[in-house]
Amino acid sequence: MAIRRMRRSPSPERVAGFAAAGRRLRTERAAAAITVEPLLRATPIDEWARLANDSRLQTCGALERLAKIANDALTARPEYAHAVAALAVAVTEAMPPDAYHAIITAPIWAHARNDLGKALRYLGRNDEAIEAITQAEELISDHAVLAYDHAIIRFNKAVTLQELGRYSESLALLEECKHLFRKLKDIQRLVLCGLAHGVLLQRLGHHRDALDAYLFLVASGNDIQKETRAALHRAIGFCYVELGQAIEAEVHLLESIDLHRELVQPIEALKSDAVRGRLFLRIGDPDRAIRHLRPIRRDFLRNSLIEEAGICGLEITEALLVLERAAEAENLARKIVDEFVNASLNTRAVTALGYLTEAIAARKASASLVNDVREYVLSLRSSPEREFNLRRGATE
Amino acid sequence: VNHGDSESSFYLEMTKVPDDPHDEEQRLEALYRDHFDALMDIALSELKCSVSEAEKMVDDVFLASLRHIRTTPDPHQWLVGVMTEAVQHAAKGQR
Repeated sequence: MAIRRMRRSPSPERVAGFAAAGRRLRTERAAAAITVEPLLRATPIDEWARLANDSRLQTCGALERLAKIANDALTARPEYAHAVAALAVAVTEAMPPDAYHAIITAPIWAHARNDLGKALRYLGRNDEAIEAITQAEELISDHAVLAYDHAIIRFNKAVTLQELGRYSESLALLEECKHLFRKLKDIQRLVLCGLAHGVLLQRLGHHRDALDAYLFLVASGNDIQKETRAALHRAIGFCYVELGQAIEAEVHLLESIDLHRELVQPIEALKSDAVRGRLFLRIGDPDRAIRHLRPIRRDFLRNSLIEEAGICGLEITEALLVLERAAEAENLARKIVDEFVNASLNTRAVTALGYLTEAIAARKASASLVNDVREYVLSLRSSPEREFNLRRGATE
Repeated sequence: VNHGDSESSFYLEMTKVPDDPHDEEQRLEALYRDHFDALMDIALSELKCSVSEAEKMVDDVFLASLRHIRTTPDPHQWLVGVMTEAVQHAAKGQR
């Protein structure tokens, strides 16, 4: 007969110690919920550096709150997200290192740097982002029990590496992250990895494979978070646009717009709507593309999203050239150049746009040249030093 | 490109202040008691370590779980998975 071993029980002190750590965190979260936002609002951003020494922010609860604020602002106000994340990092640097048990401190400090990296990525400052994320990794790499936090940070690194065109490194990291999230049954993050994998395939131009990856995620029956679903539907819509399947594209892009609106993410909704403009152009309806994209471009400008407005403007320019309305195309291209110059955007983008404008003025530009310039400007987000090489498009 | 990775919803859940703090405290205590044996078993069966070293490792896994436990769909799987990772890492060090 098999002898059953006695079930081990923890000492009451250990249980009480864990409950006490939980109680402390709960108390800090409650305090942070009513102090952090008012403190930020009451202090001009250029004076936030002194907040790093404010004891109200030097708690784990307050740092989590700052992380929440930074993540909430990421899509609509990345500059603000960056300021908040930088403040969080400054707070961790000002905090006494023994304020908490190392297993509590290390991930919170690491996530502050990870959030800073994420905000830098949203601002297109990808080299700096990698630096911040690497610092985050270093803070927790000695603690094997922080494998989950490590995977969250490595996921951010994988996504940032894609922006830098380092696809094989990104893929390897994504596989590692997937393995752990699957093991821990964290479906939401597993889906995020799948989405990032699809984006990587899209970047490589494998739209059909990317589409299959996305559709697999949607069909998996998992209860996917709304924000992820919105991103997924936009990505699916984009693939369908590239594959020339207009009806499917429209269905998914509209779904993405609805979800972003429900999430009160108007800018993201606008970005999904801008893809519909591209769709109309691809299906040979440039008039509709122009009608659709003009108000979107105005909204981008109203929100100071100059680059997005410029990309949108180039879609309109392309449609105008298809319709042989070169004078209007030239005017619009000049406006885009002015906007980029006034916003001090990448000078290489300005040079390429200037070249395009002159080509249109000389009536030597084709729609495909506009597309080349648009793709080049987009590529500067990940490779800001890339040179503009005219491959095709001009009529001479 | 939108990776849908702002983590807003994770932080929303994480930073929520519970209506009944006492209830949450009891849940944390129960979590520790209910999973302690399984985690100790993983450490002691896979590592050449003393009971007190295993207990310390289990303690660390619980502390690591503190911030994530609310957003984790399956706390048991989470704890066991992280413990396994930690033990594998420690076993490499012992070799």
